[in-house]
Amino acid sequence: MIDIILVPWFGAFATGIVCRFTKKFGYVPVLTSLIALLLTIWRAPAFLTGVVTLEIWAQAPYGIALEADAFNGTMALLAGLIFTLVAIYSVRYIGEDEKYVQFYALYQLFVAGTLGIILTGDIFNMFVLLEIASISSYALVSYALDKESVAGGLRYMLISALGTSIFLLGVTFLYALAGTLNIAHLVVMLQGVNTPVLFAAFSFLFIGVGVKAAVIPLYLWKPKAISATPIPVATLVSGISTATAVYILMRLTYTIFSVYSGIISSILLYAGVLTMLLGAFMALLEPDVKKVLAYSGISQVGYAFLAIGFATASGIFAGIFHIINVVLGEALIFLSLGYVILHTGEKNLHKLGGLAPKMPLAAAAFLFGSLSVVGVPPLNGFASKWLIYLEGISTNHILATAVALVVSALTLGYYMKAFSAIFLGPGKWADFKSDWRLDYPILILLALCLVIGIYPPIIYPLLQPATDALLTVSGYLGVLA
Amino acid sequence: MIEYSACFILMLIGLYALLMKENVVKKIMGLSIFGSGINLLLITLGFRHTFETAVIPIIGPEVSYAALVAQSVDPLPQVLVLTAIVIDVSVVALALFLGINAYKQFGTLRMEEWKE
Repeated sequence: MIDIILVPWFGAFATGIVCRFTKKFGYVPVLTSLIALLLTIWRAPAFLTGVVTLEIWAQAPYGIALEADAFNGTMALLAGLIFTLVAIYSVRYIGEDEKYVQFYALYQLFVAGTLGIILTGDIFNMFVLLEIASISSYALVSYALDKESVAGGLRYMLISALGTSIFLLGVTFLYALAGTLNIAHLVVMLQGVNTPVLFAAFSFLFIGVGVKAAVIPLYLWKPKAISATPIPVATLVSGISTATAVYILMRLTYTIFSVYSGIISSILLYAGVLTMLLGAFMALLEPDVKKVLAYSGISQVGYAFLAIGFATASGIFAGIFHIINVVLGEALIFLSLGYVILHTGEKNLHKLGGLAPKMPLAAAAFLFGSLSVVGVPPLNGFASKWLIYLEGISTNHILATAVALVVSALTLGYYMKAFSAIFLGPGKWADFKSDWRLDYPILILLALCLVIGIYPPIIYPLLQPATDALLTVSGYLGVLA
Repeated sequence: MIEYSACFILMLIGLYALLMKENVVKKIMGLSIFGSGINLLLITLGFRHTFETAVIPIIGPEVSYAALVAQSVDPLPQVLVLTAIVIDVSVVALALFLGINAYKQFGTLRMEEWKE
């Protein structure tokens, strides 16, 4: 299973060698992400029914273990798919000039780091790979080295480095309590423990994860960073980084810290509600269209936190489904926005307008993507949001469900405002010649959103084992056998 | 007890510098101090046995294998700290590069004035 991580890793270094021989080095990330995705799909029957493990150097608690159960594997499939599509997109968006070699190398390091976080079974290994992915993303965000990129990237870097250091502090406390770093072994060693030190460990880990996921009050890096980066990087940082952070949080909450389920649920519930509200209100006021999308991403993470905070099996099912839908929908919106920025170079809503006749595919993609994030029926967002509302009512969190409904309406508000400001109305622009590298990822994402939306049970064979695997802690202990 | 407090005071000093100082170089120094505080905490947690009998976990002429097993301090946090130091160095290097670049473009090191 380590080949899933090693292929993009070596690809990152191979990009420099490939660029000596051919001008088409931009396709190396596409190739390595696709290989990683295919390797994950190849292992899918194994991890959907059991646990796939790989032990490095020594037996499980003494060596580092990679462990994929159904939850990990589903997240890895999602990540691999988005990485491949965004890689194809960025060949056209970023360009194939010599000076972008490091961009493609950093892209693959980010892929390797993120797939490693998702697939690892050792918490310090998770920290190291989190740092690898984070450092790659700091460099990717500030790649253009103009004023906005450097300012936004440095701010993102300082806040996020602080967050991952606090994550290390949480790992320290866990090691002090349990004497081990393997996640499955931590579950065994922390069986009857309920001291304030354990709660302190969880708090530090939560803050570290919260900085990456951009929840209240740790979201301040996100709007400026997303506004300053090129679209492919914005998709990765806003979608995949956030989904990975939510994955880490769910793994910690349900596997290691299951003794604190009640307290953690309340924290997640409050954090989720506040995040949803704040993201929606801030997005309504923004003139910069990329900041609108950044706040929208923050708001949707609030929904995922809300679903996890309900602390029931259906709540977790809805939460995982919502993360997948949000990642797909947001990728669709960001990539369709890329057409606009590529063609006009303009990010301000007041200066755009009337682009729909020139780029009909982008307009349709933006429309469907935003309807998916809002939660309108024939699209995938509706299925997951409906499940969240049902779960909220059946667990008696009426106020939280009402807030979720109101935030959905606000989401519709700012997306329709953005859509009409960019694509409708008068405006004179030159013709735009599109490219298969821009069109095919959008078409694939659009097809996925529509298919999952029209027939949601098509994805249940991935989601149901994922929920069961997350809640059945004894299944995760298979690596220790 | 005093050694753990020292680690936390170091972390608080780093956090103060990161949050309250306006100069970007001071912020990066604060981040580095914060990381050093965490590394110090991690190593201090690994101390076991007493001050007189504890040995370093390196097998060599002075420390035999039996002495390592019976008397050494915990080597695992030291491995974690080595990794964490390397990561902190990389982050500080990248941050300083961005800081220098920002200074060349904005003309000032005060982060509040990077508005354009």
